[in-house]
Amino acid sequence: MADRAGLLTLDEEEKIARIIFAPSMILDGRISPSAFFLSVMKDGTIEEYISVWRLALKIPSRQTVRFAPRKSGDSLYGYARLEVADCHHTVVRDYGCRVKVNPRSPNQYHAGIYYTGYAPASVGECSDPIFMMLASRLAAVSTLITV
Amino acid sequence: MSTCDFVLADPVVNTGHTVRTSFVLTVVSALTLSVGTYEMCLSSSGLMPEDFSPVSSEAIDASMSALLSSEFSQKENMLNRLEDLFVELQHYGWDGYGAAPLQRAAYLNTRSLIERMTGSQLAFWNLFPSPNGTFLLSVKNGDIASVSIGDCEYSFAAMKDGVEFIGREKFNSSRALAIVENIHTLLKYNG
Repeated sequence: MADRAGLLTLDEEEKIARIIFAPSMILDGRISPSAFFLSVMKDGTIEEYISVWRLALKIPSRQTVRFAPRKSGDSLYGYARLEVADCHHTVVRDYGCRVKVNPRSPNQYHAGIYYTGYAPASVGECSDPIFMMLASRLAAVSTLITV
Repeated sequence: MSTCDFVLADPVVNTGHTVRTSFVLTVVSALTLSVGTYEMCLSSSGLMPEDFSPVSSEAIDASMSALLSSEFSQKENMLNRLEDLFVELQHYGWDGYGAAPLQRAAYLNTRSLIERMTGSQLAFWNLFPSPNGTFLLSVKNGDIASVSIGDCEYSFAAMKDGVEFIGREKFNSSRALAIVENIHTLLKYNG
């Protein structure tokens, strides 16, 4: 069923991947909760959603992920795999998340984790502690796949 | 009448050691200094068991130096990681999306907290960058606990057995250390 913006919520059985480009987001095999934080863009705007891939439609690999190396020897690290249900069932107080896709997008393999109840932090600001708990749970239920 | 020729010492600075670490160091030091004494007392009293095998002072030295070395290396590793992250992630988009460069004030705050933590405390934590230029300390073992350190404030969130410990306040390294110690108590990391 589409929401007001015309986005469709994915089925809970679907598996999704949060692509991890930066090795610094992984330590001792653990995925950082900050891999699920929204980014603050250069112009000050904050991402609307966390970009993910639908694994049933496209598997991330060194061939399928477009990646601009930031320095010599830099390479794609891997991805955090989780189920849509993991996201939909992760609720902390009144914060939650839904995984949605734009049915009009030509890239149907691309979806987004949309947070509810969360006011993202600006540059240099510490994170909302309730959101930290939510993101920590998403990181904890994810499986790290290296490519 | 003679005058006193001495200077009052400054108060002892809090090194940030936990009670447990201080206790272990004290006991190990005492044992090191008293090697042989226990054996001599038992021997002269005739109470020494036949199968008694005293721990050599070398073994105690090795154990103490391993403990101190571990304490030192944990902190050194964490400070090195912090330094590397801060130096390397100074451009927009370092996470492959739109992350902001790591902020200097957040880096300095994080460093002051790490410097106050003991190696045995740091052993429970991983340090990560956050896409809005701040730092995140997150526990390693699957428990839910994180400390986010920004330019002016820090926030914390931990949960165990249905008990939540969350907050956000102006950054102060000694206060942040107390918060970390409280998180350790909640997560039963204190032994």
